[in-house]
Amino acid sequence: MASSIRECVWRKEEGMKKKRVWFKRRYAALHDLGISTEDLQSRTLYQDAWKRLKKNKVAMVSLGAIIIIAIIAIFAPLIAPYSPYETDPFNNLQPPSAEHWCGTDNLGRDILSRIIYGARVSLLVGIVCELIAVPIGIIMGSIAGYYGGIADMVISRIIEVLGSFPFIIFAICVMFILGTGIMNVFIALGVIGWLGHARQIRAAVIQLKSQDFVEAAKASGASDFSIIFRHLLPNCLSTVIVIATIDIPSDIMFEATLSFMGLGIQPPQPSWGSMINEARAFLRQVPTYSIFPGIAIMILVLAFNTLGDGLRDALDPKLKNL
Amino acid sequence: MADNLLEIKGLTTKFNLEDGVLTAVDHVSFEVERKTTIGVVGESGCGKSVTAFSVLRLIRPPGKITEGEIWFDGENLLKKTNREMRQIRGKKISIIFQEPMTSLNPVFTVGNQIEEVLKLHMGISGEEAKKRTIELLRQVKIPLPEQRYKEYPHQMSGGMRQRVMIAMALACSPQLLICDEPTTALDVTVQAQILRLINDLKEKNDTTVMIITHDLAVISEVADKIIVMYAGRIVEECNGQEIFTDPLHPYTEALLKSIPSDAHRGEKLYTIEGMVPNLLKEQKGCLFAPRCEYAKPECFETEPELVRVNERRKVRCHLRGGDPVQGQEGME
Amino acid sequence: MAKYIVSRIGQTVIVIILVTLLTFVLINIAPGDPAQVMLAKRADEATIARVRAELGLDQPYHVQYLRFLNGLLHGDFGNSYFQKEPVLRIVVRAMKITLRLGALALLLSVGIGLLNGTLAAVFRGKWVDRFLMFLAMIGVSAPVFWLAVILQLFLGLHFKLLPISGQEAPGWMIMPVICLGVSHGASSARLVRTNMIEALNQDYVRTARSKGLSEVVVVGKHVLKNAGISIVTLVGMQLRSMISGAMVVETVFGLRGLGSVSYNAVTARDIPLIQGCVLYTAIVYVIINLVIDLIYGVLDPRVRLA
Repeated sequence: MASSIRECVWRKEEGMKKKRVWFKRRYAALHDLGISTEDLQSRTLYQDAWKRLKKNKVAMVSLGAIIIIAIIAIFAPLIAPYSPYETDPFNNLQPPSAEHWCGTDNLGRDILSRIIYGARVSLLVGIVCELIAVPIGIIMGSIAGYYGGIADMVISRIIEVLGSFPFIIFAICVMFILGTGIMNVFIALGVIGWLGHARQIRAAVIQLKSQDFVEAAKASGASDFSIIFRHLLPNCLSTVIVIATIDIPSDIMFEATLSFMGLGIQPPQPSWGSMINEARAFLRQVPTYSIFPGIAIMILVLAFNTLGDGLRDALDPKLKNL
Repeated sequence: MADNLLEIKGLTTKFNLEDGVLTAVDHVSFEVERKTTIGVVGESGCGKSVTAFSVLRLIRPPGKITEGEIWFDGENLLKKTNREMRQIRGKKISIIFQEPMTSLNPVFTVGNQIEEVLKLHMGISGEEAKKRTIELLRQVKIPLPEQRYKEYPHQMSGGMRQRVMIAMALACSPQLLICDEPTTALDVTVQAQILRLINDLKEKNDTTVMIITHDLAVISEVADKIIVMYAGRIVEECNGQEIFTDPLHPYTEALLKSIPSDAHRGEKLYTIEGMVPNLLKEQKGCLFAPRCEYAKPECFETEPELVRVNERRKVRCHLRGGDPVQGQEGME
Repeated sequence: MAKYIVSRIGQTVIVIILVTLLTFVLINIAPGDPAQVMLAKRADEATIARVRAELGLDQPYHVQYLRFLNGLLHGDFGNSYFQKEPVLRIVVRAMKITLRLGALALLLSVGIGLLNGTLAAVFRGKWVDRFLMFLAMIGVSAPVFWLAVILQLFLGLHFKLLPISGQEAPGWMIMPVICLGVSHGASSARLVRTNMIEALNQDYVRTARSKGLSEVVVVGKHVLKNAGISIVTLVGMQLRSMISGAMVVETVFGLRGLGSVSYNAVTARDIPLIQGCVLYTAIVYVIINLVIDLIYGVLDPRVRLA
């Protein structure tokens, strides 16, 4: 027992010694070339990208806005002046005033509070849908791209067939089968959402797998799984991040559209889209009723879009300059 | 006085980058006599390609030619308008690039791209243009030119694409042909063929040729004059081939030593220690000094000037340079 | 080239068959008995059974599917339960309106996109670029249906310039088209700009300039044909989301296009009509894809000769 513990300790020390020697050797080579190691900072792709992103003021403002909106959404009960469900029929359809900064809706509910709670729905939809779509897209795309052949044919056909339905039609179908509500939105977006990711990943994998470093990995006996995960996917990661960040605003838009058309979130649950729909009947009386929720959507979507742009520029600056 | 087709005086080209201003070409001056071949040698990033592009004024922002004069056939190209330059490009001065695959437009046929030049500068079109194009393809030794005429760049091999570029460049019989690393992207066997082709065509058409390369072997035997560039400056100039047997500048010497040769078979390959200087940072003294095995303290203090050593050679080095020249040549 | 066309058409046929299968499956997994729905609870058992037999609903599923396919091949999409008309006629009539709206908006969108995108790309970095892209960002971030409502509010109610709903008043198409076209024009402009910038950085552009060609020819001939490929993709993508967007805009402006028809069909549970709408739009989409790919083949020799 004691000897094995000693062995473990010895092995660990050997390991650490080897690491130290390796570090010394690495920097020794650089020293020979006359370069002081202070000039070089070991920077990964992502550290570089983060530095570049920080320089992009517009993107940082967007990031800040998103964080603020997220905080507002999470702490909605503490921030909203009224409950989003509390009706006040005698005070309905009021224009903006001191008590109700955005006015009241047709049932007397405070619009501002409903907007604040609506942020929860929008953010939830955006994030959850991407959390579902990205893994599915990665798996399907890498299988199709890497193995080719029948797997590729089947998966590509699935992508094509599912992608053949206009989104609204598909949502209508889902509503027909399952009814309305937030689950409808998740399902509709879940089934359709991974298609774009899969296509991108498939294209990237096809292009990457013919490169030499994959040959090298195969030659050293790496399994398919490890090749995909450790070699190919990290190269696509920046694409995935950018697409995910740009898909989130699409998802938010889709939810708003579906709710607007009565296919998604139903009132009295607050959703920016359904609020605009309700406002339509009262366009003449209270025009602001329809304006404010729309501005909310616009701000959130704009923030994500600008952040996505900034991320893309930061991760692949070749596209930006010259 | 020599009959110079091209005289470059104090050319300076700078790039305005995120991290600072990079002087890619720093007060470069040299002359090229008519009907000769000049070789511009140096490693990647030394400014040789930028010099070539500056001659044709192909430098786009963030790059800019900030100083100097480029005298071509008696006229200063830097004073010309854009329209006038367009009449010179492709007609009086032509350039072929390093990567023939990406340098040819993939969606137009080879014939179409060559005819474009004929149409633009010589007003030839239709059947006549097609005939001439096929003849040009034959001159660059492309077999079955009638068939190749209709093909797209991606259907050809690298060597053939480069021949197409040469045909395109020589279509209007330019006075000056600039070749930017013409053989770097090609197989070794094809390299020799392309170089021979360029030389043959040069003799036939009395063209003046500027070959830019990092490979000394490419210009040995064909160059009448050789310029060695380092970090945006000329460090050695030689009229003739004796630079190969008697290099003056330590950099040239090191370059020659780096060429693997049978004589040193079995020995460790020679490499020049250190790295190209970061041109964004100011550096005192000779830019090559950190890597030079003969460096003396004064080399780190003041930068040497390009001085004429004899009637055929110039060098920029404290140790090898002679007395500064009298007269028009030399800089600063 | 012929090989390419044939293979693409073959693929399309397979996809269409799969689409019909999927549609059939989707419709049939919905809860509720079609016959009961149609007769709306007023009938007794016997009548329901008779109607079911008439509609062929008592046959096993694969037989139903084959009858369905057979019908499709003869252009028979079945008859609507509630509107006494063949489904196909209803769908086509509605589609005409949606397509008109979509096509006009597409023209507007591509026009805006090409103009702004090219300008932004050529003057990349200068204030023209920044301003145009700022506008484009706003356009992309505002929901189409909200823009529609806002337009209704200002142009319709406030300034009383244009009719806000229905198809009777002259100029009823103007607001919907503007709304849809500007919204998509914004995303077009961004895409065109990216593609043009990438194309402008290619080596063959440098070669073209070195031959002495004027900038107009360089961009107009060399760049455009290459960028044209991505622009065709752009048009294709736009066309698809345009149809989708048109259906949304229709509901705001009360137009009788496919969007409203399918929505009402679902509310009424008019199964053949739903099926017809779904299938018809899917097939139109697939054919659009095919046409786009064929155009690719014409524009990009690398694709067809590969």
